[in-house]
Amino acid sequence: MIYQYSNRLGTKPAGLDPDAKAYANAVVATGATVSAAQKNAISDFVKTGKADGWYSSIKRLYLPIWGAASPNAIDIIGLTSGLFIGTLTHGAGFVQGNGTTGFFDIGSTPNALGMSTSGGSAFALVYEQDSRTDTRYFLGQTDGSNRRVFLRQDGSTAISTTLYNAGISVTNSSSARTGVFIGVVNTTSNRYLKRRASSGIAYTTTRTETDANIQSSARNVFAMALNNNGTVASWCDAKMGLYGLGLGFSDSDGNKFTLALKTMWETCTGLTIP
Amino acid sequence: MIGFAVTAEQAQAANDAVALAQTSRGLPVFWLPGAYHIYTGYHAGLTFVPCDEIILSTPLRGNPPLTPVDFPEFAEIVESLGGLDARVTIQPQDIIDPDAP
Repeated sequence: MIYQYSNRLGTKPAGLDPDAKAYANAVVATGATVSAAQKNAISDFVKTGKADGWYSSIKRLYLPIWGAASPNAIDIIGLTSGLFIGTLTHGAGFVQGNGTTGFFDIGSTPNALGMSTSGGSAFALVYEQDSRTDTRYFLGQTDGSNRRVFLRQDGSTAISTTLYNAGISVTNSSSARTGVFIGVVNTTSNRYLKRRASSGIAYTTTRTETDANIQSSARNVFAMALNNNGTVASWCDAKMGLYGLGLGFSDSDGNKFTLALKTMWETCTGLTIP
Repeated sequence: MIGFAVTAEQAQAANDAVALAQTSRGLPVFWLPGAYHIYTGYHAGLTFVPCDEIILSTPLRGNPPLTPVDFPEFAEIVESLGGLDARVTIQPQDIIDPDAP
């Protein structure tokens, strides 16, 4: 009903968004089932992003909720396939590495996706935290010169993110390791880390010191592990509901984007983030 | 961790065969068992190819989803690694590079 009212008010076009429909068709082509409610949830996410203006900032977005590797590997944005490697569980509503060999290669680099110090982001929905309390990567890559893009847990007491910087990471000293996390760089002096919990935005930590304008390497970004200059490391066994990469987001758009991610995932899965 | 401890060439060939099983069906390569150098332990110097029960039962695609063992290439690939009975157990830290920064 709410959806019908929003259409009448003219805030969003009626029917499924064509990009969402194309993604749903790609998922169905792998044998997975996409319900009407799930299609509507994905379509609402895309329409909201387009109406708000942040949708074009998403460069890769994976929704590994379908219970099988092939549909879980499809990027909502470009419909290309990433690659699952090693031991992973494809659950109902999430994917989970075993923490020792399983991870996901998005098949592209931050540079190839257009990320830079003028705009970059890494985001993930963590449904259940890693079973360990050391450094584990939700998303990560680094090269031989230690140029990095990552979003990770630092033990059991912090979450941190680094995007194209020489020394300035954004860290929040929080023991909460579940929720929707997003790390963003908008300029060399505008970075933030945000966590959305079930109750809303739990924190936004900012860093405004000017850092060097360092570009990242040609290493692919891994999810559920770190691509350590070509060697996989620091595997994560958290249950991941979604993950992706993008350009920059204003603080306001970061709030809207993480809410839309949460809404889409929760509606599609029937689960709720802690 | 359960899997095969084989030469790097055997591990690469097995992963290539799994990739070919996907591309030959017109699919992108979306799943591989992986190959990890073994740095420490009894099998140090060899390459680890994970092959535990979760790997064997990984839902890949289809309705109901096919698993690796459902593909006709599976038996030949496993045989190239010595057969399921040749699998070994190693410790997770054995595949972590002790010199990694």
